[in-house]
Amino acid sequence: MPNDDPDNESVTRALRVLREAENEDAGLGPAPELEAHLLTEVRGLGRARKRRRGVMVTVAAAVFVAVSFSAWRIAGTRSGTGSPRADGTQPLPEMTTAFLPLVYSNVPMSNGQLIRTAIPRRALAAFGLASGDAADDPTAMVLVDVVVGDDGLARAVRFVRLSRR
Amino acid sequence: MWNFSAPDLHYTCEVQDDGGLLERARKGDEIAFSQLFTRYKRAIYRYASYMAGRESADDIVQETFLAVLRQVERTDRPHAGVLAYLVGIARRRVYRRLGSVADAPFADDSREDVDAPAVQGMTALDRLTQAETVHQVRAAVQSLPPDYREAVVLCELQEMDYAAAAEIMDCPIGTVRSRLHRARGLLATKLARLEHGTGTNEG
Repeated sequence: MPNDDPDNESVTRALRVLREAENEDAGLGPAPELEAHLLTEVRGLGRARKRRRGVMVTVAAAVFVAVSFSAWRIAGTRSGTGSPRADGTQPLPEMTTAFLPLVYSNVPMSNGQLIRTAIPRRALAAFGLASGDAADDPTAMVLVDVVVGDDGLARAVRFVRLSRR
Repeated sequence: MWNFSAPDLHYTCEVQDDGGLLERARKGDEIAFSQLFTRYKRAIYRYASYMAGRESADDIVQETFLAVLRQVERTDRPHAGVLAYLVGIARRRVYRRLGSVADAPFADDSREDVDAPAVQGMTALDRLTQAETVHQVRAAVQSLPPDYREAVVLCELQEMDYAAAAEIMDCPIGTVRSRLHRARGLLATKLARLEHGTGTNEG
């Protein structure tokens, strides 16, 4: 016990009597029903926390399912494989070349899109590619994926060939 | 460590340090909370009843332990000890009340005169004398200004060291010492007046 006033023994003695009396007084303390009330609060808070956790897990699961479904749909649309078409037929598997840079490939871009389109087969020659047997057919078309920046400039292109089953 | 098994429940109880108990109680562990409450309810009650009066002490004890429950995000262990931490919470509640009810915390409660603990070897007269002494000393402590009273309650009655008291009172250790010194001086005066039969309620 701290005591920096040794001269005053009566104060020390009086406080010791008070301290010991209170330490031994079993009735000194909060009302007995207080603990039961607090434990009810503990259970209530525990239930509320469990409910909150349950809601968060449900929301997280829903977000995960939604994102997965969207990704699956996008992947199916882009690759053209794996998912049946609306008419029930399976899409043809496809082969692609590597991306070939275009004139504006050095222009920086922050965002872009991959656009699939068809161009005349004879345009392959402009990329130094053999035009194949169908070169004689001026109406023959080939599929290409073009990378277009958000500024509207085409950066790269790749050719797509649908395999015959 | 004791293991209790029953068909529908399985408890593992272990003697845990205060910091561990506090950590589990904050997370809503009912057993830990109950143990924490049992360990500290008297100390918090004593502090609250000296500082805010008996009529407010139950509420302050309740608010203190509810505050622990609401600290679910906290994981730190109080460096001055769990008692100091709990008294710190209680103190904020006390001063919030004192702010609104000025400095009138103490209903004079003579319950101790009746319930004074019986000590072996004491005669009825001894017990009566001791009960009277306890009552008078308590009244003298309760009549001290709040800062001095707080120093007496923490350092003398709760037997905390100066560092823990300083942490709770949010002041340097030297200030705790000086408040305690002045408090003891005032108590000496009051008790001397009592011995000479001049009453307890002045000053």
